Amino acid sequence: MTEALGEIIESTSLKVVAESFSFLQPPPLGSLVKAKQYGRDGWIYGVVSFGATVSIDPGRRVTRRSTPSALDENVYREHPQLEHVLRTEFEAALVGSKDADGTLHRHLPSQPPPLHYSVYRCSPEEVSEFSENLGYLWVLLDFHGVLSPERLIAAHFREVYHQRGNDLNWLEEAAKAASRMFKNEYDKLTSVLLAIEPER
Amino acid sequence: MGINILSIEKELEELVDHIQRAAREEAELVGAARDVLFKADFGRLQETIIEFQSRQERAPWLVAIPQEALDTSVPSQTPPPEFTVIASDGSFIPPDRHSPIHFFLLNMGQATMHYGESSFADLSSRAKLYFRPSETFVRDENGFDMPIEGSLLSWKMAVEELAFLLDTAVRLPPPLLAIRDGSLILWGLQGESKDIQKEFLYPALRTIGRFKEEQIPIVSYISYPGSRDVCNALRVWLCPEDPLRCRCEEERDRALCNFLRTSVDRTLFQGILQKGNRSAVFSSSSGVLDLYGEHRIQFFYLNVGSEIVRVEAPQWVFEAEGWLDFVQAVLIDQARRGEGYPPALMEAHEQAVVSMEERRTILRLLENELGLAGVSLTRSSKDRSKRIRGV
Repeated sequence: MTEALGEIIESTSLKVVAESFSFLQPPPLGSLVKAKQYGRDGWIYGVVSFGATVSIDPGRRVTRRSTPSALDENVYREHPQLEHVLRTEFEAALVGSKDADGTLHRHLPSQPPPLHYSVYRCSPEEVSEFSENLGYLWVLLDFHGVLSPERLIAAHFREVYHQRGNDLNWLEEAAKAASRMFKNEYDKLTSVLLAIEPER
Repeated sequence: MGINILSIEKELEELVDHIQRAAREEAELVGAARDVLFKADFGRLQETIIEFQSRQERAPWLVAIPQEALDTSVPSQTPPPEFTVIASDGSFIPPDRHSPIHFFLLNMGQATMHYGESSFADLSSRAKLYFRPSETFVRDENGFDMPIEGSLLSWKMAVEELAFLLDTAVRLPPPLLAIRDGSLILWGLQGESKDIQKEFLYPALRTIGRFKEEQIPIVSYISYPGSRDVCNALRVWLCPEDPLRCRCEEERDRALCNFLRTSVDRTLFQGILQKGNRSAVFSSSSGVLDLYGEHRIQFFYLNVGSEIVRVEAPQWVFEAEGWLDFVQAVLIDQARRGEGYPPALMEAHEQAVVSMEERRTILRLLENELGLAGVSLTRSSKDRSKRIRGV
């Protein structure tokens, strides 16, 4: 069963913004997520490109609540209203879609996902299936979000590598793709390669 | 031409001197007033005030009737391990003189906060549109219909706020404290006709009665109170024969009486109550309370750390076993959590508030719906010109 992660509150051809169902915990940066297509049995895929917890009212600033006796999780126990006046949001860059018959497309979807629909977590099988072909990485490279493209791509590589059961072969292919994407930008390539180096 | 600063140099020096002297004099007078508070015998003062109030010529000002020694200062206890605080607040869109439809909107906000091991909060609001003549007008004693606006609208809101608070409170288990923003003494209704009182005061009192039946302590919380009931009580103590006309022999005493006339209670208690402590409980002498029956309002002052606040409640709240301590402990705990102001009241306010944008949305919605039904509206030319803002 796929898990619903949040509700779409902003939807464009390039990205969705969703309010997270789990407070303070947006889905992992770089992870693959999906939303239903409107009126069809297909899916739209996205890569989590940003997460934040903010005040629900732009006019109300978040202020310090800690005291020496109430730190961390105890701040929320002392101020139960916080869960209602703060919200956790995340953003996903759109990178592809899947038709009802299972055909995968690794380019921007023709329609943005419908507002108020849910964003779901992708199973490891879906992640493996979608990441088998790395063509969508060029869509991600072109996405102008809060993160720089190399940071976003590095985060995505780490997520997919783990989801694929620490698949070193895949990581090698991904690193090669990165070297093509950043062939003229040595510093950016280095930062991707350093960020995806598996733990030894 | 500029100002020749040198020409006012002397006055500036005098002004500083004057301000310093005035501050010193005031500090002395506050000190003298506190001395009176410490020395006055509350039993005798109580009798004097009650006797004074029974005279023909009643004071045009409010006098606090002490229920305990005047110099009482009680530290706060710790609140129970699990308890709930609920607060309500309201706001309105008043009737618009420039609109052809007569209506107003009340928006009630509530905040429920449960503290303890399994803490949780519930915040919500409830809006209601009033447009039927039976809802937007009240009939006065001459049989004329008066539109509910201005102070009448404020009373209507007070009634609805209390009702909303009760609706929320009855669903929750004790220990529970219900807080309202502002006074529980609807003193403005004192001079109104019986019909107006029946419309606004009696429903409010019925709701307070339901709080009593349900055994839910209800209080109101007044930040930066401007009341001077206790100062006035000291005036009665100083001039018991005729508090309305000071006959003090000594210049110093006359100055003190005069000072008490304009001073406020919070200044008096600022230096007396330590952080977390409450004053004695006083009974209010507001004339409208004669109509409150068993729900007569009493009050105390409380040092919440950042200021002295006034806490009011029907007398049965402060008389019930353990409730006075509970009220004080919970309010001090609220002030601690909210950096000087109860978070429950703050969140209730946030729920109740209607922004300018929301106001506009509601008016547009109303006009659209009427337009769809084929009703066209003629607004005032002034309002139309304000909307178009042509240059």
